[in-house]
Amino acid sequence: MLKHFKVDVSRHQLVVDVEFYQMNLASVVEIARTAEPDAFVTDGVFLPSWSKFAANPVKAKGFFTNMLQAVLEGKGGDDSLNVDLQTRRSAKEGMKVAMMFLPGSVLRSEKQDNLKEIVYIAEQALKGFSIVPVYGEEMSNANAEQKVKEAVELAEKTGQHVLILSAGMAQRSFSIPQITELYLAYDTGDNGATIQKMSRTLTPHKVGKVGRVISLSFDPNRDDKFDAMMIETAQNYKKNHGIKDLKQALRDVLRTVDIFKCQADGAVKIEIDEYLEQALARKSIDRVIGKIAPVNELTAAEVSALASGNVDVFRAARKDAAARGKTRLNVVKKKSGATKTDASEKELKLAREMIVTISQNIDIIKFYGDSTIEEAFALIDADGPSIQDDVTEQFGVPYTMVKELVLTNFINRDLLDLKFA
Amino acid sequence: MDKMYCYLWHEKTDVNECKFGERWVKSGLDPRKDCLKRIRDSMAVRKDKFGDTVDPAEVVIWDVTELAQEVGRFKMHGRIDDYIREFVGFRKGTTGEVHSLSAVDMAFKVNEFLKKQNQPLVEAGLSQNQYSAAENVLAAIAEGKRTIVAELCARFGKTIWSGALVKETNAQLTIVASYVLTSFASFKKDLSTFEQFRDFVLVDAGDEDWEDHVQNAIEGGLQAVVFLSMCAGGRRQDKIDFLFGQPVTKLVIVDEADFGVHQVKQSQPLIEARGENDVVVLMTGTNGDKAASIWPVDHYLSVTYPELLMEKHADRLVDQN
Repeated sequence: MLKHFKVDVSRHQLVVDVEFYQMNLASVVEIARTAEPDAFVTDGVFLPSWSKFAANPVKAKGFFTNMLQAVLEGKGGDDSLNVDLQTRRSAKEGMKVAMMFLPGSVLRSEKQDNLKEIVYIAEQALKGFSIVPVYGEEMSNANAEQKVKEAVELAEKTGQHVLILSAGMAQRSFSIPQITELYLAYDTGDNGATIQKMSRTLTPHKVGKVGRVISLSFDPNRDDKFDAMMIETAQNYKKNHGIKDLKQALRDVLRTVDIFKCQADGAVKIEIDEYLEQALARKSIDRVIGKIAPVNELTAAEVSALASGNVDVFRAARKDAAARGKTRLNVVKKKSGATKTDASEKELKLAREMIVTISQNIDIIKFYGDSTIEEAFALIDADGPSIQDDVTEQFGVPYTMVKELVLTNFINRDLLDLKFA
Repeated sequence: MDKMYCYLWHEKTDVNECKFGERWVKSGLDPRKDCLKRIRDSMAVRKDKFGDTVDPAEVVIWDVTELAQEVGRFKMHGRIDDYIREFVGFRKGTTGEVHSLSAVDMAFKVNEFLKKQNQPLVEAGLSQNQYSAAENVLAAIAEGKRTIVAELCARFGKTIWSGALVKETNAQLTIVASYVLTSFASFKKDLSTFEQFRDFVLVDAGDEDWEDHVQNAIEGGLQAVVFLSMCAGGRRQDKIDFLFGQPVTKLVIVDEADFGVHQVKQSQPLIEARGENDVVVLMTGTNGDKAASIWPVDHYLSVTYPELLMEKHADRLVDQN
């Protein structure tokens, strides 16, 4: 209990509500393909993606034009893309300020030419919008907010909506209160960066503001941009409120945080069972398990052993570290004078990938045995080396390593259990 | 009883000027709402622009009843605002209520003036999430944990929360280190606004004579809070040596810990300088794992934005649990 502070419940009301939308772009891709059959085709394979768009926006001009007009102007006849219908936005809300984050790869083009092309296409496509690009020699993270504020103010005077376009800048310390729609127009990315981007619509403005985060997806079944945040929230909620079952915690999260899938007759809220099914299908839970595994608690020798799948070295290293009371990575000085941690980034990455691999394949263990994973391991142990070798082959990770990591709770059991909920 | 309040606001599109005025709040009225009404009324025929012009969350109010009574201005239109503005300065023109400085700096100066006059400041209240997170970290410190990652989402209210930690731990010297220098303005504003932070002495390690201010504060039994830029150069190492050489317990708050300062060359001077008993809080909005990558972290706390929404809409959970 704190000595000097009390809870002020009125502070809770200052939090801006947020709604998450999954929008399926398949129909505008099809339209683009009708006009241009080789759109989004590479080496004969049709696989639409934002990175392909970013690599050659002029080639995908038809797609991008149709997409912008369908989403922001309701043109083209696909109501599942009409954002005002999906979000139940009415004209009385007045001027709209939207922000769209494009793939970071668009910046790799020479002199950011591809981003300039995208801005040009947007200007041509959306006549009722002022397009405000966040890039260029005169724009920096330090002055982006002020420059965009001025542009928004100017658009207000001329009665135009605003679409802010960014490929990475302005994702932190950038507060434009009027932003109510935030579009994620990239395939995948770092979870932290995605949360930073989504947060651009959470700055308080008028009373009752709702921030709408719209993931523009070529395949919603693989789109996991919201998952890590939801699962992490459920974990925190379970831990802080003494809830036994992570699925119940996730159910509570989804009662207060709305995720919608966009459909022709309006957005439909995704309920817990459907959400879980989708999260499992797109392997989001496995990735979260990898993300939160306490790899940083290991010594360099442990990380190395984990990365190489060598359980004996891993065990020995853990025992050795425990005996010495050392359980963390060190910052060390190299001979050259440079400094870095005593485990390489590559090894840390490999170690996390090892955890994800085990999580993805854990059903092989679970369904071999009885009702619990512990019982399953006991049965496999009793059955001898042939089944263990089989597990090793299927996982690509030694059976003993799998067992060690699961039974010592190094791999988060709550999340593993959620896979079988 | 009727009360005298002062309020401060600025236009969203003009951060270099602000307006400081007074409001006679009648008994029974909510002072904040009444001050917001006054600001809205001041927009005359364009009250509809209020929401576009002013962020209500940024408006600062002060109960200056005691001061108004002491200086004989406790009456409607008593012009206590003019009395205060004479001490603050930066008035635009000779008669207006507009000041030519940012609202953050103006709030800081008003707070410092009121503190010198021994006037009560506003009590800081915490959201449930802030309160619980503070309890969590204090419990960890009590258990002997010394390096803590606090991954706190956007709109959590990290600066006030940090102030609560400083107050509750009673750290004699707090070092707020950051690579993102704009964050210091938020700290300066919030840590000068509230009653609980009255005894904090805020020192910018970029100012002249800052070492004297730190030592005077410590010797005077006050809590020194020092803002330290982690950008390389600028005698950074000398400053670190001076701060960590102080013979007192220290609380180190690394703000935006996943940005710049997560790199070895930025963090290593702090890692090497910290004492065994110094508490380090690596505070970040996202990427807590990145922030933690080179520190010997022994406690991890995270609060996500949906958790803030769950607190706001707790009523949706009550009937079904």
